[in-house]
Amino acid sequence: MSRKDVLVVDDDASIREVIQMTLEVVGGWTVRLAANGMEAVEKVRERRPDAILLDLMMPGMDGPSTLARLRGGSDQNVPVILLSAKIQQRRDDQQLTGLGVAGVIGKPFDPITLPDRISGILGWAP
Amino acid sequence: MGAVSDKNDGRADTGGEPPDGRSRQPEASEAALSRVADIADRARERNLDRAGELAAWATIGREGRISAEQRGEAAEVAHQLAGSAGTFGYQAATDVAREVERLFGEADGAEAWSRLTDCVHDLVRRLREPPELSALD
Repeated sequence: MSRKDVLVVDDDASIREVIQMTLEVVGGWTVRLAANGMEAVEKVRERRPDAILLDLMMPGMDGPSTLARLRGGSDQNVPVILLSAKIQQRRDDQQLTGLGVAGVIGKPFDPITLPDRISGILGWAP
Repeated sequence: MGAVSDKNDGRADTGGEPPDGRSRQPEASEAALSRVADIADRARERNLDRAGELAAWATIGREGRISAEQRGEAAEVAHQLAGSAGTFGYQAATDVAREVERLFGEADGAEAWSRLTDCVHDLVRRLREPPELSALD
């Protein structure tokens, strides 16, 4: 089975860096990075990833706007997992569920167990 | 926060922690942990810078000179700090940053701005301390 290709979209450089490291080292996956929604759309256009990890709140094009843009393009079926610092608020959780994403991972998260959480959400074999 | 489902069946899943917390190869986890520590050091510096920005916004707010747009910018900085700090072992700082984010949205009157200023000082203090027991342990 080929290595999973995951696109990580987050405006925080440290978060991008730690996610890339743990998904590559612990998960054994290929990781590409985008610092904003526009960059994410471009990267998806270049090559369709197996999954997208998308920050909810980013300046400019935020997570939901990016998601809408992706869903409106040719890559409508790429599973998207949202990263959200607001997941602890139940109302927000329910709103996020309605966005048609595969899952939501709250911030802060444990970097080391992140690949397992992603695999669990997407049904990928560990 | 727990998993809604284990597979991608179209519903959102909040992806709960794996039962053993470290289910992949231990050596890979160990290698990752040391690299996480390096990244965490840089993240801590960045978060201290963010806390400095928040202190400046709080001063402007206390003086009654902050605009709605600036409040929004400050709340966004606090939000980013909240998301980052706990990931790198500073859960208490995340909790305080969430309160700071809320207060920048609502603060009105001298007492509220004073509370916000106290929270920002608390945030700086917590970020200067060693990380708590956390994902990095």
